[in-house]
Amino acid sequence: MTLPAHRPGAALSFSAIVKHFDGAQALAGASLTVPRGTVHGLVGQNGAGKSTLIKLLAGLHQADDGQIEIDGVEHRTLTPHLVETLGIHFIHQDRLLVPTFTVGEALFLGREPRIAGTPFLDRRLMQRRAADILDDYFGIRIPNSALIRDLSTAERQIVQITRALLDQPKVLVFDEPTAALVRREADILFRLIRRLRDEGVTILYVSHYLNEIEALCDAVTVLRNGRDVATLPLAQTSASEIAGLMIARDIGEMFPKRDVVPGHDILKVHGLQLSGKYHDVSFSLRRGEVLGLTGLLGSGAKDVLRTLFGLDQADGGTIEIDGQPARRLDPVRAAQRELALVPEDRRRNGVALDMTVGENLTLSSLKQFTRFGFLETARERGEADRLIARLEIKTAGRDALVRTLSGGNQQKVAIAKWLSRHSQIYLLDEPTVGVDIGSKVEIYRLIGDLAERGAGVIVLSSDLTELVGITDRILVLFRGRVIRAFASAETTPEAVLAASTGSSEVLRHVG
Amino acid sequence: MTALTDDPIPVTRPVKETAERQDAARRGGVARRADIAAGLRASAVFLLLAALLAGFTIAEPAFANVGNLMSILQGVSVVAILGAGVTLTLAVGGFDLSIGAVAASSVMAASYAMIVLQLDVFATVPLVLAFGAAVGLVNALLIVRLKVPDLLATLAMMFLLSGLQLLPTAGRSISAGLVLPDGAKAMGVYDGRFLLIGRYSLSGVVPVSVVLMAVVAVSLSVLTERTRIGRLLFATGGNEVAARLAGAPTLRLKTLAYVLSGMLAALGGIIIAARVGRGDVSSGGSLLMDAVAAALIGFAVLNLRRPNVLGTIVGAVFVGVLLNGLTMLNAPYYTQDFVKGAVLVGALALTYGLGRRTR
Ligand SMILES: Nc1ncnc2c1ncn2[C@@H]1O[C@H](COP(=O)(O)OP(=O)(O)OP(=O)(O)O)[C@@H](O)[C@H]1O
Ligand SMILES: [Mg+2]
Repeated sequence: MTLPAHRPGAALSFSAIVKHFDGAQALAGASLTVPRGTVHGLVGQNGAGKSTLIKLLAGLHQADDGQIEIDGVEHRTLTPHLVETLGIHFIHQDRLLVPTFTVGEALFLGREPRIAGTPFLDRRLMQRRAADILDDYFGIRIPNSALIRDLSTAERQIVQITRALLDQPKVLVFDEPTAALVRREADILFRLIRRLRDEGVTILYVSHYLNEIEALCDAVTVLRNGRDVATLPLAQTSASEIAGLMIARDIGEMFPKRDVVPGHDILKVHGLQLSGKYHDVSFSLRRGEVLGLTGLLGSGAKDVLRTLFGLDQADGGTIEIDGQPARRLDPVRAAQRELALVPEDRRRNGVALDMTVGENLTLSSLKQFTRFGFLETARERGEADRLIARLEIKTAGRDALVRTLSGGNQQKVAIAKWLSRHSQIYLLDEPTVGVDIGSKVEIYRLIGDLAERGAGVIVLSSDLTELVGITDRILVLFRGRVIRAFASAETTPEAVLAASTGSSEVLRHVG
Repeated sequence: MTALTDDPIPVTRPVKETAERQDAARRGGVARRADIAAGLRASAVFLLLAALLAGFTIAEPAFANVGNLMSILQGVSVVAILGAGVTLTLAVGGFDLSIGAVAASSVMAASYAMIVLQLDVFATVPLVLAFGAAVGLVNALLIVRLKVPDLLATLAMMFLLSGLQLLPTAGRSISAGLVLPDGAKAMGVYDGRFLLIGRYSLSGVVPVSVVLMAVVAVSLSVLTERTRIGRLLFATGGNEVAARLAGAPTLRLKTLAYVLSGMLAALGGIIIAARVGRGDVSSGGSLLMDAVAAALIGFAVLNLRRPNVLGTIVGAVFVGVLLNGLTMLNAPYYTQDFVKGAVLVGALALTYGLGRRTR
């Protein structure tokens, strides 16, 4: 007696789920019902238990208590295999694809099509099906032979989604899918989700972007400290109402005001170029200034940042730091010249998962806690505790391993460790991705503090509201060139978006 | 369908805060129990060690006399020193398989220096240590510059050294009066002062090799746990990219680890040479395995679950005590490897299986 897809009923139902990790309680009686054929949002602060709930459904953890029903049937033990046969697919926040696999291998891992009647892989068919889906749903091309480790975070995400779509899923679960996606790709994703819903697919959607939840979901459940505090229909609920339920305290002004008069130029870039990535990039950054940088995937914005920190070498042009030309930069030399980079893929490049929260937090600023080469542990611990409190990092303490933190809290560790270091120039690549709304504001405040201290800050972000809110100026890159410069106070996110997609009427170069 | 189930969105309203607060209290209790459990695990190896010492003393009172305890420490000193080197390379995320071969070739090098080149202790010791450092440097060059995977590079080095030590004497062991490949007779002898390193005891109680082990233990513990360099060594092993972005000179740190590892292995070789007083071609057979085992048992000590110098030393001593005690109780020598293996398996199970939940 299977129900037709349009008939109401719960595709997923969690009741009173409890889950402990050693001393820490991740879920304390959370309940959640997702009606069939709807898009259901799941929100909550970093560490509220969203990913844990999803991992329980995926069979990656076992609940201590409570029930999970799928299509009205209770399942005592779920395994990843069983869940997949039930038609539930996941785009996890932190499950990495095998980096040394090709796109084709990753897409078809475990269900490789064979040439009929033989044990041989049907490479042709694999190639075609993957290309079809990528083209149909995302309008992009990723060669099947590309290695996962050479893809950008966004491309990897697209590969994960494509992998799920190859199986014609009944339920799709997204854990912060847009964190890694640039606006344009996010729009594609939203269209995709609506289309799938109309085809009868049930979607569970986790995000820290409440405007996405508002635009996309039929209903939303708010988790706080491991339990559901409310489930609300979105037709009657606003984003600020949801934020209020998540945080239970006043977060104050979203974009705190800064009061700095920019000083002299601290960074000058002239005619910088890296063939195949960007050309003729020139700009300057002043002390106390926050400069925004944005552009679509492949626009070259990220590459400019990498070059500034010496991760790539430019083919031409000059970089001047504080009036001194900087040649042949590498990360060690860049750090000596008081540059700091917060990389985007923080799980890969930002934190050491098997070191403690405290050790990670002070890694970049260790010099400040060293005397004659010896660590001043008491001061170091004090700083770690201060950062944990300031950014509300949810952890058992500074001695817990970073591995045990929720995704957003790992992000906070990676960011905090850079912001506590005294540098002159900060290069921040997507500084608030995956971070809950309350901590975002705290990070904006920290960025403001840096500027007030006289540092120059470059923020690369695809969250354009954030970019317009916290920067003084914005440079937009398109196909490797700076095509527009905006004064943040006189522009809107929409104008910046238009410029970054190249659809702006003024396609002229701006110094 | 009834009207009741027709509403696709079950709506609940915000719950009260009190439940959360009660919960926090309950969590506190759980946390305290976890603390105690963690404390027990952290001291488990020490408790076991104490139990062993007590047990062996009851079974065989001679076990507890100072002479025997010192001879245990002397017996494990070489393994402990080599294990400290393994710990360093493990910390940077590498592995040095060549230490056993470095120690063995150092025995040969020391003998060759004194017997053939007729050098004294003050020339021999620096020369052998420099040899160890040079091997470490070549290892580092292969791994850091040429990007050869660490296991392969150091395995190759192990083969190279086992062959190299045979060349100068055409495969013969080195002792006084050695006939060289060209027919000449070697004129040198072991420097008496060199032999003191392996045979002298301070105030007749503490052997020099035990003192050396203590010095290595303390100075490397301080280096790894208390200094910035030490922290950066672990960061390099933990996430090399993150460490590099934090401005850590990761390539130099790796080089440092391999050079120190080579020097420590050479120091081990010096102690062996000074103990046996000759250069045997086949010395240092099980050194590599024993040192690696000590370093891995060290993961369990203090429940740190990462390489640590103090743990390695305690691991080496633990195995030494166990073997010595069992020997006194007339356990046959061929059970030794089995006992070492069992301790290692137990230690790893303790760290990874039971300990996992706490951190
Ligand atoms: N493997 C683990 N070991 C120990 N604690 C864990 C583990 N996984 C999660 N936790 C803890 O459980 C809590 C909930 O984590 P979870 O990942 O579900 O949060 P989240 O709501 O997804 O947060 P985020 O928005 O940061 O992704 C956190 O406090 C986290 O530290
Ligand atoms: Mg999460």
